[in-house]
Amino acid sequence: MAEAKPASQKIWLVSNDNATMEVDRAVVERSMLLKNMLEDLGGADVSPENPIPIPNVNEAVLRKVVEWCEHHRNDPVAAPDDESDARKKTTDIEEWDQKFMQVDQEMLFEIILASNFLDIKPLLDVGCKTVANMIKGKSPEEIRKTFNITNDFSAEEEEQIRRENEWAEDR
Amino acid sequence: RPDTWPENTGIVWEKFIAPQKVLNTPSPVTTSKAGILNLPLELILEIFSHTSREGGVCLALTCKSLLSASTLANLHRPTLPPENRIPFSDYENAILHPGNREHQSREAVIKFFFLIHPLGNGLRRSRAIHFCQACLRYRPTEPSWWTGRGAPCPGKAAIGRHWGLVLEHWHYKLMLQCPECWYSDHK
Repeated sequence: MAEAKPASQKIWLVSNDNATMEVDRAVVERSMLLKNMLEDLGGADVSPENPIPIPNVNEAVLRKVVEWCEHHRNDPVAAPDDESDARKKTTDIEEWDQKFMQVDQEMLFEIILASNFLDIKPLLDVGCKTVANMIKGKSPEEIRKTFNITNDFSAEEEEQIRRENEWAEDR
Repeated sequence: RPDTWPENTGIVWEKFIAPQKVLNTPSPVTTSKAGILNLPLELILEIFSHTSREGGVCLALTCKSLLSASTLANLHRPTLPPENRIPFSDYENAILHPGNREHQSREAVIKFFFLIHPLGNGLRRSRAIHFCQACLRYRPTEPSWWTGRGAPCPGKAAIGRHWGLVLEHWHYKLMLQCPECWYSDHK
């Protein structure tokens, strides 16, 4: 029988730029990837000398992700197959998360990538909802400006899209 | 999917079409500074799943890469079939009654169309096209385009006298109805 691990047990993570950070196990376990990894490791020790490597995530992003996990350490864990529309039906983001997501776009997309890699669905949702809220009510051109997207459609192609969606007719 | 559209209206959601010919033409833009375009497809689809219905369509209309991704995102566009529309003259009156269901249907669709209005030079709304609030389509403003389209027959002299004026008003976007819809209401 596996030995129960106290929530305050320390775990060490190392970012891809070699920054080591000490985090409570309960915080680390917000990541399904790390939770499963720790369970698989069983009694094997994770120590400051033997931290868990987090490839693809640099120190700044990892610190942000850990900050989010710290704040949400006591949140109920959603069922693994909770792919229902319930969590997608609203673009509401709680106030703390809104402030947390007030970062530049580079960091926002890095957080989305990291939460996907670490399998932290609620953080991934918050990130994607933040992007969705940046899109809300905007025209395609306003969205391009917001995200620095280059319009690569020719005038003819734009017309073809309008035509096939019956927004306009053949000229 | 977040949804702020009025409920129980005559709006019908049809599948958004990304034309294959457009998807097959390579983009002239080879690198992009846009962070959103550097995300893997699964995460772009995750973002699409959180957008409002019109937000998803507007996102797909930004560039080829997102248009291509949108084909996996099951997007829909709002339509108001003719049988669900009240006559345009009634719609004009319905503006006085904002709670009216038919009014809400048309107004919501019109708002969507304004969001995706074609742009011309200087990214201002194109002068070559104007939106008809009656048939809910973008239609050309060039008077010559209307030659032979919806023009009154020679026997309708009274209407015929107004036709040139209607074309001119449409050309300068001073009318909400396209000339064809105007004629069909007045013939």
